Amino acid sequence: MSSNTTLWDVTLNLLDGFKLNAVIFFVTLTISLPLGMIVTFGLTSKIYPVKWLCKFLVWIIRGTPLLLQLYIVFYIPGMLFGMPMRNRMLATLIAFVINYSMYFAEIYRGALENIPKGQFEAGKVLGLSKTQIFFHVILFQVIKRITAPIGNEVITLVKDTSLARVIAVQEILMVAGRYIGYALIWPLFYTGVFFLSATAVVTFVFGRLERGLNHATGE
Amino acid sequence: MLRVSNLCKSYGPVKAVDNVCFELEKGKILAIIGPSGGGKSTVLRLLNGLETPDSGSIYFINSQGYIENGTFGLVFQEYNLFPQYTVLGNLTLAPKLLKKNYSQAIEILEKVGLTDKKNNYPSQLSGGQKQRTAIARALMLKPDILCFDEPTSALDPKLTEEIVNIINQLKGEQTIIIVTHDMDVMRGTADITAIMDNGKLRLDI
Ligand SMILES: Nc1ncnc2c1ncn2[C@@H]1O[C@H](COP(=O)(O)OP(=O)(O)OP(=O)(O)O)[C@@H](O)[C@H]1O
Ligand SMILES: [Mg+2]
Repeated sequence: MSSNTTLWDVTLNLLDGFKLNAVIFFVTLTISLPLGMIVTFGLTSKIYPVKWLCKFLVWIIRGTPLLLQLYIVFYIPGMLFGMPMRNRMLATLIAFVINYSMYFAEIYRGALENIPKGQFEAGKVLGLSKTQIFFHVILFQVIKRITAPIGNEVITLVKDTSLARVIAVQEILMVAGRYIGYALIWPLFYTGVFFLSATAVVTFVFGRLERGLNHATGE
Repeated sequence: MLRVSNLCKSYGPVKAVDNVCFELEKGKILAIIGPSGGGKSTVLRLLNGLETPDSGSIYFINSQGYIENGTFGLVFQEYNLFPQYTVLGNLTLAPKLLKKNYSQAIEILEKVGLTDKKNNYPSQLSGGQKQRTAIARALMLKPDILCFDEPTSALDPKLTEEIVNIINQLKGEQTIIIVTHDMDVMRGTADITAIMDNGKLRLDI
């Protein structure tokens, strides 16, 4: 590595690290977007113990740094149960999925509670069942309301993936940091380009999504 | 014929609907007026199953005096159109999901004068057009009794006239209950008027 410090070699190296960021990103989204929905059902449940448990979890997860959660998921199994987490990536994914599910759940809940009561009532008066009302009347409006806040979270997620380095996942910042040992600081700054490219794509995709959803209601 | 007997509904200490009794013949128009908070909307919500009564009954009685099935429709004051469906989509959604006929949509749109707006979304409609869409949507399921909650209170005099014209067109063939602040508008349209205050309904003779 020490000899390969041309821009091209550094780019390839960083790209290797960035692949892990991408894995964390996609796995987190794929699992937490639906998992958040389940937590939302808990948060809005009429079974109070379920509701309180979910509220408590949301409070804990949103009230502590993701960094701390990473440490806890990585070290606690070994300390308490004598089963050390050997797979650093797995620990990262567990922490990220739990963290992001809670944020998504709160976004869903907020959107659901913001749908005017009249929409449910109009469906009911027309003789539709609760399921029909949810899928044919409410769901679209929820999706429309969550697009912007979810977009913000997804951009945060792009950047949060770099936290995985604290449990020694070889993601891009970790890789770039190693060049410092060879008195090279620019690879670290150069990682910014990777993050900016990724967030640019996310911004573009969500912009299109928002426009599409507005178009679907004639706006 | 609709027969409502001893209908009661309280919210905590508030008797929103207090022992309401009335009958309404097929094809007639009943207008209910009264001060804000009098319980008018609550009566409509009870009839349409949006609230459960504390006590009392709501029956349809046929000409032999037997109880028969009957349905209600409700046009909300805030329209409550579905934003993601066009005017036509708003009309056909429920009949399609309930596997009922929806070919009457074209004719109903004609009746409320919205044929040229059928592909517009609610966000592209004026208040009067939204109200007419809401009326058309409620008519699709051919309710035995169509209820209107303050159909004209958000509309200017010209649009109000449009809605009154539609209601007049329905007169005779559709049984209607209208809640309104503005009795002047309904004069000449309503067959029966009632005043509602403090949860009590008094038929005006
Ligand atoms: N969901 C509710 N919870 C508590 N109180 C309610 C509820 N709905 C209605 N009320 C009360 O019941 C009474 C009757 O309300 P209602 O809306 O039926 O009056 P209204 O005659 O329709 O008034 P307005 O002309 O202002 O629409 C009011 O005192 C109101 O505050
Ligand atoms: Mg009212």
